[in-house]
Amino acid sequence: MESSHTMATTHKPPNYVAIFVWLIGITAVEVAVGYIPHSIVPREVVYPVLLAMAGTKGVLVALYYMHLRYDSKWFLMMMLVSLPLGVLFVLAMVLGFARLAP
Amino acid sequence: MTEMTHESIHEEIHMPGPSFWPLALAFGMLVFAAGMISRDLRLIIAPVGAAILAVGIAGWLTGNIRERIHGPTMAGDSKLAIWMFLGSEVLFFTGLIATFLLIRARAPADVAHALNIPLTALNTFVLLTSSLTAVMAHDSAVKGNRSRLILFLVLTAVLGAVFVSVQGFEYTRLYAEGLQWTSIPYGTAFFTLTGFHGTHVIVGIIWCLAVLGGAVRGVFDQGRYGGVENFGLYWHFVDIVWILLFTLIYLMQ
Repeated sequence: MESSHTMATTHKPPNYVAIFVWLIGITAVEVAVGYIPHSIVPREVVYPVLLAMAGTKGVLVALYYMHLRYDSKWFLMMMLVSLPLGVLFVLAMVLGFARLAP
Repeated sequence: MTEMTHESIHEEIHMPGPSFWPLALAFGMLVFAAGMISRDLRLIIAPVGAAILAVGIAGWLTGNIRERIHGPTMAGDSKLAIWMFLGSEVLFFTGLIATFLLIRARAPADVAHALNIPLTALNTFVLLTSSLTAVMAHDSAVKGNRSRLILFLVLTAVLGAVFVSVQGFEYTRLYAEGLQWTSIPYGTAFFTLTGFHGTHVIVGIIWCLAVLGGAVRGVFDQGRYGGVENFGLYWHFVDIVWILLFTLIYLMQ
């Protein structure tokens, strides 16, 4: 028996449908926010809000659908190591090359 | 959970036997890649490479499944391996995303009229629903409910196919509007990023069908559902990537 696959079953399973409803709801709000004209709300405000909502959805899927909330912390470590590296790379690329003339 | 002694660990740990399928798969990848970068022989070499790759995957998967069903019980930890793989995939996609953002910033294109937000939002809903069905499949496997497991795996595969089909339709529309893979830098970045994601979805569909085959044969039960869970982890990761891509590409134009 694969011991790690029993760890996720020692807890009461979350309400997957409720999580789904949240995901759909946040997506609907995201689309609505995306349509706000930049003349009304500047993109410096809209874009972080959009990213925050996307991040929230990703966290919900990771924690509850991928069972990161209930599983061994070693699995969470895989993401906590690679995600910051990825974000750092994106920032370095975009901000670094932004200084160069087109 | 059974407490494992030092002796039982040595009894239970089992390494897969030697196999040439990984070599076949790697050779298929090489031929496919060579075909894709060849200008004149792409349409000949790439399909051959893809066929060898598909045979390698099928052979390796079949052998692995047979070994896991009929061989000694493995103590794990395929789940850790999946998470390590997903960690590498994070870096893979952030590389593509960084390139896309950079090209969009430095060589912007007027694509607001071309990118169909409502259609893609609907497609996002399809993929989110497939994530629900995937986790319900896992839940069914944990509870030993074989008929529900099969139902939810079928739904996941169908929804995945719908997603890919809608993406394909979107691609044909964009091509008709003039946004093509090699037309402008934005097009290259867009199709590379979304194309790789679409390829991941296609691989996920194939994986889902393989797990479905196991479910139909009665491979999974309350004590053995790792294959379903591992597939689910991959599928949810692909969903998370799309959540990010939809926001970055379509909503943050």
